Amino acid sequence: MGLLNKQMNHFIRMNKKEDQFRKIIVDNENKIQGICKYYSLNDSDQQDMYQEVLINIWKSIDSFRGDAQLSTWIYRVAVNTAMGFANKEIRRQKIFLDQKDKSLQHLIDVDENTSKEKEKLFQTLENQINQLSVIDKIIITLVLESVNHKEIASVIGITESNVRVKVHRIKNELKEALKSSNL
Amino acid sequence: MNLDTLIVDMQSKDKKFKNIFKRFQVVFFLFVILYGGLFLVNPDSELTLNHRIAGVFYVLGFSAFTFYLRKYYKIYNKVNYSDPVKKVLEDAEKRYRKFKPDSLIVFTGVLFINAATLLMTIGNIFESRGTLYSFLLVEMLFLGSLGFGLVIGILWWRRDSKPIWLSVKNLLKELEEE
Repeated sequence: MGLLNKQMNHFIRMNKKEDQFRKIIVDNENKIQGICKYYSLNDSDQQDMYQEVLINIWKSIDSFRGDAQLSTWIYRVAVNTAMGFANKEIRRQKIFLDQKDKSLQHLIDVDENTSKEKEKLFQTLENQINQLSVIDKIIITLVLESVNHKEIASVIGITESNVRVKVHRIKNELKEALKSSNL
Repeated sequence: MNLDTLIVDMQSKDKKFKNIFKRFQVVFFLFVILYGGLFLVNPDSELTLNHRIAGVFYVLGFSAFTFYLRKYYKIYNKVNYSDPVKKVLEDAEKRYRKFKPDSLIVFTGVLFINAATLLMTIGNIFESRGTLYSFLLVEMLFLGSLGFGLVIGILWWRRDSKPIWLSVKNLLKELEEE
């Protein structure tokens, strides 16, 4: 009887986990895809990373107790997965930007009249972002995803003022780099 | 992507991993029972006090291994991707250190087994050669194996874990900076 109860409880727990997992994925698919796109060159890589993030959400789901916002929780899993922080290798991730992405305006003023130079500007920006350190790259992808400073602080585990300083410094670095490239 | 297939796959992996650790724990626990039974519970009048004490050390040694495995399973199972990046890095820094506090549990286990083996051999098969000789021989073998294991472990760490440990330390340093 005891064993049967134990098995029943296990079954109920597994079903609950499955339901919770499905709901999280359905509700947050765009957020996960949003982060994955910066770390993947093509659709196939993006799908691989997306699947890896799902696997790690599954592994971590028992630890979600609501003390962080669900979106913060999702971003943490996505970023830790992308960078391989909990694995046996830290990936020297390259960041890929989408030229059509409107979120680039979070970083630079994209002047509509400079369309000829847009391509060059974009390339320089992407190169410069890839010169950044691992932590700065994470911050920049979150900024591009319109995540606010408070949430970035919670994803990374540093203070909000530290995030503000870092974002300010990164933006200045990027602007300086673009300026020196005459863009 | 098929979510159903993914869920089934992950559930089966969870189960498989859990079973592997359970089996290892069972093996060590069986050693605890076996040695406890042979040297402590066994009413055989030929068993000397040395044998009885050795039995206690064997049981303690294998218990230490079982405890370590249990602890390791919990830590491994707890690799949490949903912690803040800084916390994940701090945990990784601890995981990839050359000498971890947890290693002391294994070391204690090895010492218990060493003590037990010593008690079993002294005054037994080396009786004719004297206690000092058997003590030195057993210790040479044990310390030799321990030293060899330590060297292999350090070389392994240098090849596998040191690079990631250094990267993690650098990242943590970077996080501290403004």
